[in-house]
Amino acid sequence: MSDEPTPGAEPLREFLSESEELIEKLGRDLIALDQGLRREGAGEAGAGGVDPELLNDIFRGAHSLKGLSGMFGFKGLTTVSHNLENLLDALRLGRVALDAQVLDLLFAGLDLLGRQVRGVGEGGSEEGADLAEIEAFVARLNEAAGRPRTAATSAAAAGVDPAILAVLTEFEEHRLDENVRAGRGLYRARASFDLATFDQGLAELTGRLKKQGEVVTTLPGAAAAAPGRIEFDVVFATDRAEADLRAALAGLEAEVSPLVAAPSPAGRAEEAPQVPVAPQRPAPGPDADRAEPRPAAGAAQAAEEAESSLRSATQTVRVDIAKLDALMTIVGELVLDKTVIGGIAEEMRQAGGAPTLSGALAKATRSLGKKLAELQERVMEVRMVPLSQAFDKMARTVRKLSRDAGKEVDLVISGADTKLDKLIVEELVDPLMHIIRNAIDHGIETTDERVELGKPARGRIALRAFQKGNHVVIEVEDDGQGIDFDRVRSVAVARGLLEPDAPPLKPREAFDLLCTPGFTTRDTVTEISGRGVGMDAVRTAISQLSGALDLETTRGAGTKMIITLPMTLAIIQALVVATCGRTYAIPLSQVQENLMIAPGDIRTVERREVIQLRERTLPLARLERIFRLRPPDGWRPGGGRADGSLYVVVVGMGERSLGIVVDELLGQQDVVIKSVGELLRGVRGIAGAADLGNQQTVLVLDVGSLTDEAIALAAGRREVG
Amino acid sequence: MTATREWLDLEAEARFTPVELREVQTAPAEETRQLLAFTLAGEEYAIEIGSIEEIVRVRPVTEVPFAPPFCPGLVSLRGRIVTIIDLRVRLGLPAEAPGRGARIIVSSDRGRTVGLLVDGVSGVIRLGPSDLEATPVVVGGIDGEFVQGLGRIGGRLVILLNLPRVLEFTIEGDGAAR
Repeated sequence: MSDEPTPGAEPLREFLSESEELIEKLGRDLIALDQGLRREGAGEAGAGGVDPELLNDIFRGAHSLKGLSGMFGFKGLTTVSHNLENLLDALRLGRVALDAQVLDLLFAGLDLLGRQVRGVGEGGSEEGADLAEIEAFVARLNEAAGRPRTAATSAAAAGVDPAILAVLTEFEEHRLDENVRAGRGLYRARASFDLATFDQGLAELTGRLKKQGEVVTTLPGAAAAAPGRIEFDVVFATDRAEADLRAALAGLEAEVSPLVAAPSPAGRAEEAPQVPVAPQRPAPGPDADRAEPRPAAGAAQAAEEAESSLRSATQTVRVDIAKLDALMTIVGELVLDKTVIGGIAEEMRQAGGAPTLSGALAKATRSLGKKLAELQERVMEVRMVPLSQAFDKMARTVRKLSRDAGKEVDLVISGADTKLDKLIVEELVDPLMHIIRNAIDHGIETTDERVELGKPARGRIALRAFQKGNHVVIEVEDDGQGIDFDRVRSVAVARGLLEPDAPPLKPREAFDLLCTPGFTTRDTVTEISGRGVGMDAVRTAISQLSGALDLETTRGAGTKMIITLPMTLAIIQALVVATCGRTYAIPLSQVQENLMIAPGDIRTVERREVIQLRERTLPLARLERIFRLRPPDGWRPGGGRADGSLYVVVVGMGERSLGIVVDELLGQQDVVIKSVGELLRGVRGIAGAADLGNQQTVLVLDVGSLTDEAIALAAGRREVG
Repeated sequence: MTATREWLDLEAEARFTPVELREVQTAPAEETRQLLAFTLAGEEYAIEIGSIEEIVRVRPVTEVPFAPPFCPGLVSLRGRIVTIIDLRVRLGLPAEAPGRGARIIVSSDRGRTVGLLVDGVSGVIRLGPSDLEATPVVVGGIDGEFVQGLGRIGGRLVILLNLPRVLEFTIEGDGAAR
């Protein structure tokens, strides 16, 4: 919120954002590594199904994190990242084989680092993990890093010129070995360039070679070159035929010769049975960006690149969200100022003095308004980030939770590039995590059960996002057992939430019960979920984001949770209303229509006020009752209009519509929603506060929770606990 | 609560003017603490100056449903939403409409920003270790848990508030403060 920067707070914030970013990237890369390893399937362990550049990236990430923690003097973080880096170095040099066990260790390391960084964020120290845990973990890392690996084939054995081998770095040699082992052909491309422009020429050559395979190293030519020229040998590995290579290099004066002849493509399968998994390249598809294995540079080069990537400027700036908030606030105030200036212009016009001037002022104000609107839009755009920021975390969650639960679950992500306001994406992480937990723990069956049911052995959770009009829809769908409404009903009866003779539950009612605090259908509490905290927290979190939560479930086939969110929280169009002497704002996106009714239109069904609206019954809500407001002296509903008429603002959707009774509709306005602050956060029915200008602050109604409230009142459920 | 709102409306036109907390430096001893002194029901109180962001005049508040009696509502300060705490009510002193001298002291503690409504601001004081006294159980009619200590400066007795404790409450949807 508004903790003023104290000395040291600013650099600490930078440390946090930078380290969090590194950890997030590490997480993404590890997931990619995991997928690569799985695709490799039954292949020879570590035979290169994994993009070597990916390992290099991860290594560099750990290295950067070590440097960063060291700079800030966080010893625990430095120790963990240092030892991780060692293990990663051993992995990328092929000294240690990459297997599921080592990968688990890397994930565990990432978890530990994450906890340590959070500890720094919360208390300014590394209390996220204690020393004993760090030491134990480091011991495991070192044990793994020390596990030797026997190389089966080597480049030397394959007949590579010892003169070349002699100048390779350990990493390059390892890559050469890996490629020999994978049965790829090794070639040397020799080219001579003009000294003045050799860098361009070389870049062109390596660029083309990278499309054909992996560039292992670039060496200066051994032979003396002509004056003014320089010669290079590019060593690369590929499974393409030599003729294809020559075609790919057409137009370049490069001479291609084999270092070790490649097996002929036709005879390869028989001749090289040690390579059961053919071209070790990820299939194109969602990971298309990884489909082309990026070449591994030499170790020295890799380190150099790591350095330069720290310095080199991508055209991006990292900005603290608080600064964007401040910017947004100023823009909001400018809009209010513009309204005031517009008012003055209008007054001048009506007063009749200086018509030319007032006209000019009005025109300038309109132009100002247009530019402000654009400014507002641009600032909002800056706040938008792809949902992948939240989805990537889910990939890790699924991996960990499914292992903990002993189930096999695949997560299929789509639409991760859908953009939402940064704050919304942040706030989404916990609710999504809850939903996925539920899916893994309650939804998806064990492998044995699934096989028995004739379902695929591996469970599947689909995480989808897409834009729909002014909203973003996020769906989490599992192919598990679905929700048993009868079970929900019997638990509700047992807990006194329903009368024993209540009729069978409708889907909506079952869902509402599931969202009751403390509700669980589990008999035992598991590690993962079942403690009865969850769905109500999820619904509350989503409704605080002005979103809606829905559920579709089919017994035996699975459950789908649907989250609908506004694109941005920052600025919304609001309907400003007055009732009981107070002013409130209602998000316009939630308003269906406004009605004016006579007091006689209101009927009572089971002590509940309703009106008839086009063949359906609309429940009414009176804010003064829900909020227990003390009315001003002499106030009557409707604000004392002679005929007693009332306004009804119809909000919500379909079955969950609600009519909010108000005295006056004051108009529409763009408002910037602000949190009501930590202290008043728990207040039901309020989504936030907004400034209307002229020092007038109003509360923004939370339509979702008001509807819940009205439904709960109507259902006449007994209060529990 | 409507009453609360009305009295805050008294100074509805009052313009926002931040009071600058500048002070002449006079060779500070290491243990000397700088505090802001203010009055409540005739007694003088003080809080650490480090936690204070600004001091503003009383302005209209927006009432929040279910808020406890010591929280008359919210104000917006240059786009920032600040929860107002009526210190008189919070400390159990008799409630009274703010007079002309009343101010809102905007201060923050562990990320929570609040506006403390006080009868008046008297100024910055410095207290050395020898000026501090142990806390009796009940001071000036308020609960000892809210008091950090007593300071004596000249002939004045100043009650040092334990701000974190004063701000330690959460509000549930049903309006109960905990």
